[in-house]
Amino acid sequence: MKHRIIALGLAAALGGCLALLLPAPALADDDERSEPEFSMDIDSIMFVHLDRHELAFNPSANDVLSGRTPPQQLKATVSSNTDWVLSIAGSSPKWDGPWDKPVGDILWRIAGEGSYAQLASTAAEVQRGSPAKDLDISLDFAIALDMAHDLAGTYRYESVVFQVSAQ
Amino acid sequence: MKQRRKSSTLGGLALAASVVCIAAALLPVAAYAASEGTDTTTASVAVLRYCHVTYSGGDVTFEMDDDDFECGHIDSPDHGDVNWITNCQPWEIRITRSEWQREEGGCEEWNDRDIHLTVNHGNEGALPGQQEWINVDTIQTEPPWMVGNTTGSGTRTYLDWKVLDIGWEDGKDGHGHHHNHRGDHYGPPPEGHYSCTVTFTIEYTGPQ
Repeated sequence: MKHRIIALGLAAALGGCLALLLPAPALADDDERSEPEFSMDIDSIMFVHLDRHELAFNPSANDVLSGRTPPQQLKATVSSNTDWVLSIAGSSPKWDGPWDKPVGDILWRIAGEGSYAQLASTAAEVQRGSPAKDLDISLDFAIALDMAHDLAGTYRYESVVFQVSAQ
Repeated sequence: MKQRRKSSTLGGLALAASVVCIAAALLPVAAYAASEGTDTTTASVAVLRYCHVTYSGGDVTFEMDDDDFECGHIDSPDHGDVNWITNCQPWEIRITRSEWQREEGGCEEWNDRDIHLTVNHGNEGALPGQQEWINVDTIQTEPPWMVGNTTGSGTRTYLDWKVLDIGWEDGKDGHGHHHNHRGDHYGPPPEGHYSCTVTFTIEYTGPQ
């Protein structure tokens, strides 16, 4: 009896070891997968940040005579994970001030490049590019002045809108 | 007993592994939504009051002759243009002069008021009523040469200049004394070359 028990124990142990060494039995179709799959959706992400939110011009008499203020510079920083386009637009057709100074009297250009463009109420393209992180774009702004119309006083334009969007 | 214990251990491990797998498959995954960035800036401009006037036409020279002495004045017509530009309203333009300086001649005394300079409003062909003559004195006199209430630019051309009281006026009194048009008893200035500088100024005359 004792020998039979011992033999049965050894056989069980061997069976267990064999079970450990034998390859795992094939799983049925509805069994759990041993290689789980991870998935994630990432849409386009883009934003723009301006380094200045106030441009104040104080033209001299000579500036008024010359028809334009000296320029001031503003920097837009663009980050995007897709092809992007940066645009600029005015929020209204007129300034607030002593007279209806038009939005087109706000002049802009890529810093140091070429002639000025007039700001409009409709969006105009500033620059476009491929995915980028913290891409700086500097722009010059100036204000056109007309002695015949620009009465003395303070004029305010709110706001000049920068927008980055997918191409 | 031992056999059953081993068998149960294997089955327990397998079960634990499948539970881990299921848990991993159920981990939440962050999803990024699409976005369009915007930022805004504000512009302001402070325009100062500005008034500017210029005279073009060069120096005005009066070359006197005997006829000028007879009539008591000398004219220099259609001489000079005035241009102004302003963003102020209202405004006025005034004309003043420096004192006459005698550059040639003797030592006779004379009075600055002996040489009476006047100017009109210019513009060739203007009607007589528009040819008002303004005194050009060393101090501001009334009325101003020009007043206006519109911004922008303006011009007056072909100004006429005249010097009075340089000879025998018509205003002789009964005693044979010669008077100038102001009733003063000054006579014509002594012989010599006289000059002065005329200044045009434009000023805003509204509330400060």
